[in-house]
Amino acid sequence: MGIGRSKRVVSTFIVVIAVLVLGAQPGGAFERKSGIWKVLRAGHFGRAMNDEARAWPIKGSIVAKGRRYKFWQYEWEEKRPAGHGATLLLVFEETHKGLSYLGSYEFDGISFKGPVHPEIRGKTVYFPYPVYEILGFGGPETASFENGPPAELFPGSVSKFVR
Amino acid sequence: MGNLVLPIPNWRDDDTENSAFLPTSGGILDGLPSYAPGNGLHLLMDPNDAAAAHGLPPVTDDGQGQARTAPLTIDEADTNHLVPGFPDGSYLPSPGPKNPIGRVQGYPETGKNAWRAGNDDAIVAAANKYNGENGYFPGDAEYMSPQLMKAWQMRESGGSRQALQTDPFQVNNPRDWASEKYKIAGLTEGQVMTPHASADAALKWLHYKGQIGGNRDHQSLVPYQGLYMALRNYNAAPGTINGIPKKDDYANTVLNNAWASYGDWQK
Repeated sequence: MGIGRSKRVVSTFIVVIAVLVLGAQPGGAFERKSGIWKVLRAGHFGRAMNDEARAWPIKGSIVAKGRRYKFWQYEWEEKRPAGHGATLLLVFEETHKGLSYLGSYEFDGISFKGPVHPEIRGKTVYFPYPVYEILGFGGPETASFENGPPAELFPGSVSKFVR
Repeated sequence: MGNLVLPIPNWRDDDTENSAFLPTSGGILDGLPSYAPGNGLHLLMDPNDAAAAHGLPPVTDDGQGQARTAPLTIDEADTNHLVPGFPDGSYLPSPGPKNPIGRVQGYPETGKNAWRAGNDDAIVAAANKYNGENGYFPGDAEYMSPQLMKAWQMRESGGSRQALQTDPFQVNNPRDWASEKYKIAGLTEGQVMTPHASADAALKWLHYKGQIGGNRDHQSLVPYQGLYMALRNYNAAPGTINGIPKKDDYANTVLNNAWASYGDWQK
């Protein structure tokens, strides 16, 4: 009984050490591979998919020209002081086989009032940016998916649809 | 009992009192191991012997028509016949950057931290090139001063030696690659970075980021909006810290630290 307990202690110790060593590797050794990350990997998504990244689904879908589009919001932030970051709108197509990744748009994921979470409204993705009331500008933006994913998120935007 | 008879050595000063020192057969230096740079023996050796030890042609001339007969002394260099391992120049400690910018508050660079000033020349060169090529002068919104650049560099690198020696502006972080970086900043994905390449590319990328409008402009390209917006977009971190967006905190920190360290850096 004593020996068995010792073995369990040793095994636990080895597992803890292994986790610490793997977790200490630069750049974040913990790679996400299941769920939506598996779909992104299959679609050759080019951004970080480690523990610096996270993603969550946007409720609803858009059906346009016989195709059903699903959307996720993605955030990446380097784990270092003053680390860089990015916020993306991920676009998927849903078929009877499941989800497949189509591409993404980078967008400003935070306003002076806090994080911005896109919503599906009809055949558009709605970005609830607040209005700068005193200055008299700003306000929500919409991206139309009526004809499928647009080349630019908003008209004239530098945010292009990229794989 | 008779006296012990020792062999008579062939002392070098027997008949060559005023001639150059040359180790002679049977002399006190005979039998020593062959010349090795750095063992101190070279100071006693004739340049011909030192050259021969390195497989170089014999020294016959000191460049002024005179046969060299004495070994080199410290701080003396025969520019025509330099011996490998003893390059010409000062052997005093490194004098530091040619164009020192000065310390950024919170990042000491004296004594054992002197390496933190190691990119000063690269920063000055990049800022001068950027301002010169684009015609920016102090007072212009786009003008970049070395002081601001150095404060920005420290915020980006965290003052870490590894980052300062490779990509101090973190402009080509592999996890942050965007295809526009090739077109805008001349970078390639996975490119091995140097402080010079990092400083040059970072200025181009920062200027581009300063032209991306906010949501009031549909995130389209607009006229340059100044350093604050440029730094904010350069960082682009999601989330908030103490109630304000992290990217705003980043821009504030860089600008405030530059001011605290150098005063009005634009001058």
